[in-house]
Parts: sequence; structure tokens; C-alpha cells
Amino acid sequence: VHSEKEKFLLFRIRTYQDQKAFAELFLEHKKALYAFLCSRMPSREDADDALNTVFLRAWNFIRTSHSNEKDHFSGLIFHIARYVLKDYWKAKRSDVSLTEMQEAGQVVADQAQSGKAVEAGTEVRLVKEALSRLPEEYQEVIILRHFEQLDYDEIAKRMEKSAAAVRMTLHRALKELRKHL
Amino acid sequence: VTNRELIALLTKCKDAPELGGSVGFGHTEKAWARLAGELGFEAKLERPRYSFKDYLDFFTHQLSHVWMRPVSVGLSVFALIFGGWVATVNASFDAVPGDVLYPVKLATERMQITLATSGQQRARLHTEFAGRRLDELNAITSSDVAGKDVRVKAAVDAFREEIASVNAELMEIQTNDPGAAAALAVIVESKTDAFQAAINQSEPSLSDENKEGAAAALNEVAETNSQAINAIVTSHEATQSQETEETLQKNFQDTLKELQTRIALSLGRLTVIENALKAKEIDDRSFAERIAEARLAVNSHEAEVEKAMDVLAAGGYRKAFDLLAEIEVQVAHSEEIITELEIKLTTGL
Repeated sequence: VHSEKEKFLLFRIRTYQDQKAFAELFLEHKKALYAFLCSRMPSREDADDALNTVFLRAWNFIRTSHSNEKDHFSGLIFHIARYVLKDYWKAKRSDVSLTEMQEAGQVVADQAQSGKAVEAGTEVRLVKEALSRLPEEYQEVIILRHFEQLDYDEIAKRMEKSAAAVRMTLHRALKELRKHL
Repeated sequence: VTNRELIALLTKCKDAPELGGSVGFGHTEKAWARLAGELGFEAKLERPRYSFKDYLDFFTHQLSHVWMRPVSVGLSVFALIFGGWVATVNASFDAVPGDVLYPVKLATERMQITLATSGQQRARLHTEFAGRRLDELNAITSSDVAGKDVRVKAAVDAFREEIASVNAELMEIQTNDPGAAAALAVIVESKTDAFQAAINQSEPSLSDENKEGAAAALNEVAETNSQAINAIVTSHEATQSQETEETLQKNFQDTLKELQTRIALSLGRLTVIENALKAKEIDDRSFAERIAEARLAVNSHEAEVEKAMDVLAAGGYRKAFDLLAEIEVQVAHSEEIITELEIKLTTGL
């Protein structure tokens, strides 16, 4: 049912540039995507920017895409998010110089990128650091299951996998996460 | 950390602001306002309501674009490829060398050869295709198409190739499966007469160059026939079957009949030469010697023919056919002498 509704909304965007349909998709998926971005970026401000960029690109992509080209909105935005994250860290790396390395903000970002907790001691920071060390797919499945509290069938639709594959991925993701805690 | 503890920890952290939690609906509205501003949207952040017409519109679109399109595209492609191909192949069936569709005809034949599962099937197909080449030869010679000589040459060459393939397959089958070779040889043998008749029919209208090709083709057909007979004899010696016996009897009679016709013709030609010499009052000793030599060669066949027939009656098929082959060599020799005399008489050399 969820999938058909999503197809309907995507059809509305493609055919009628329906802003309301896009608003509904935004409401539906913003929380999971934001959690994903926050776990991989040093600050909430960066995650806010990335969130905006992802939805902007998603709107432009859907408007110009052909029917059935991408019928899973969640898959699409997480796919875009990975590129946005790559661009973000690439830009950060290119900015790195000996002088800039001395700047406190950059040190914080660099530490977060390399998986070192800035301020050890709080559980949340530990979890964030551990999550940031995981492959994106593992991170995504943990967020959808334990932050968004979605069932396996729903995660399977969003990740375009079978429910059995989702269970297996989640099992491996948790095993990997435990190593970093 | 146990699994249970880990899951409890994740659940505890899910609302942490550092992980995007506890931001409230205000944050979502703010994010939407920013996005809407950049995209020039007027829509507010709320769940829309759609009418029945909107859903019907979606359903119709899905039906026509998503579900029906692949089916219709598939059917169209199938109709285009299969229908077009069948029509082209049918149209190519009457094509002769030099026609636009002739390569299609050859391609379908090559495909049939490729798909044949045994040497026997391949030999049958090559025999059938050889017949087609001769049909083409007759079609070309009896028409006024442009480039006749080139087309005839192509047809004759293709025929010879098919015959060579029949020979090759026949030899291989004889070695590997003598039982199957007999059945195949019967078919090949029955076709060779038709091949010879078809080539002879076209021969008068051929150019000198193509006549040479046709003569070579006739020789190759005779060779194939001889090989087929050999295969049948070998099989008959082993199996003594009724079918092979009938085929051998028929072939022997046909060959004998042909030889007798040639002998009668040779005797007639010799009589004509003698009469012409008398009429011209030519008393040339060399002529007389050559005529005597030819007549002797022709007349000596009678005893040989009788011997061959006796051997055949006794069941000595191989010996009988060997005797016929010897007679054929002698007849050919006498025909050469007669032709030489005819040339001398007509040219005055």
C-alpha cells in the first residue's frame, strides 16, 4: 500500500509538478534522512544544509525523470544523500591546509570524520561516533529500524531489498556497531 | 555489550539532538519553509487530499504507460521481427544468384545445415540444396535477366559446392555408420539422374566458360553417384536387404541402358562417317584404321555386357558394377575416336 501511495505521489510530481505531493513525501521521509545526515556530519547546521540540498535535488530529479525510473522515494533520497555527503567531505578535505588545520572548527570536523569522539563520555556521542564508522548501508538500516521504528517490510521497501536481506543486513550492522562501542 | 543492551542504547539515543532527534515539528516546518522558498513553492506543509478523479487519472496512466506499454512494445517487436522475417524468407525462396534477396535464401539454408543434428541430415539437405541450385540454373537460362553469364556461373559453382558437401558427408557416414550410408546413398543416387538431366537441359544455352563448369559439374555428379552406389553395394553385401537390392538392380539397368544407348549412337555415327567417306570417294588408310579401331571397341562391349549381367544375376553386384565401369571407359574411348574422325571429315584436316 505504501509503495502504491508513493508511486501515486511521484506520478503527481512528474505529471503536474504537484508541490503538495512533494510536501507529503517530505513529511514522510524527512526524519529518517535527517537522522542519517546528523550521524555522519559534525553539526546539525551541516545536516540542515545537506537535508535541503538532498530534497532540492530529489525534486529536480523526479520532475525530469521518466515514469518508473525511480519509484522508491526513500531509496532515491538516501542515494542522493550519499553523494551530498561525499561532496561535503571532499570540500572539507580540499580546504585542509596546515594553517586551516589549526583552526578549531576544522579540527572538530576532522576528528568527527576520522571517527574519534570529540568529547568522550556521553553515550550519544559514543553512539554517533560508532555509527559514523559504519558503512552507509548499515547506518541506514539501523536508523530505519531503531530510530524510525519501522518494521522489516517497510524497511525492505525503502531500501529496495527483501525483508530477509534487511534482517541479515541489520544483524551484520549491529555486530559491526558493537565492535566500535 | 550484548545485543539487548545495544538495542536499548540505540532506542535511548534515537531522540538525541545530535542524531537528529527531538527537533520537533517546528524544525520540520522550518526546513520545509527553506526548501519551499528556494523552489518557489506556495504549498504549505500538510498532507494533501486527492479526489477520485485524481486516483483514476493515476490508474489510467499506469494502465497505459506502465502495464500496457511493455506488452504492446513486446508484441510489436515480435510482429516486426518474426512477421518481417517470415515474409522476407518467403519472398527469397524464388530468388536466383544476383537477386537482392538471394543472400537471405542462402542464409536460411546455412541455418538449416547448422541446425542439422547428424551427417545424414546434412547430406540430405545438401542434396536438396543442390537441386535448388539447378532450379535456379534453369530459371536463369530460360529468362532474360541481366548478367546472365555471371549468374549462371554462380549457380553452377554453388551446385558444385553442394555436391562436394554431399560427397564429403557420404564418405564420412560410410566410415562411421554404414547402415545409415545405404539409406542416404539411395536418396543421393535417385537424385543424381535428375541433376544430370537438369544440367544437360541447360547446357545448350550456356557460354563456353559456363559449359566447362557444367561439364565439371556433370563429372562430379557421376562421381557422387558412383560413390553412392559403392555405399549401397557395401551395405548390401553386409545386410542383403530387399531395398538395397532393388536400388542396385535399378541402377544397374539404368546404367546399362545408358551405355547401350551410347553404343548404338556410336555405331550410328560410325556408319555416317563411312557413308560420308564413300560419298566423297575418300580412300584414306588412316581413316579406315581408326574406324576399325572404334568399331572394334564398340562391338567388343556386347560380350562384356553379357558377362556383367551374368555376374549381377549371381549376386556379384560389386563385380557387375566394376565391369560396367570398364565398359564405360571403352565407350568413352570409342566416342573420342568418332569425334576426332567427324572433325577431320568436316574440316578437311
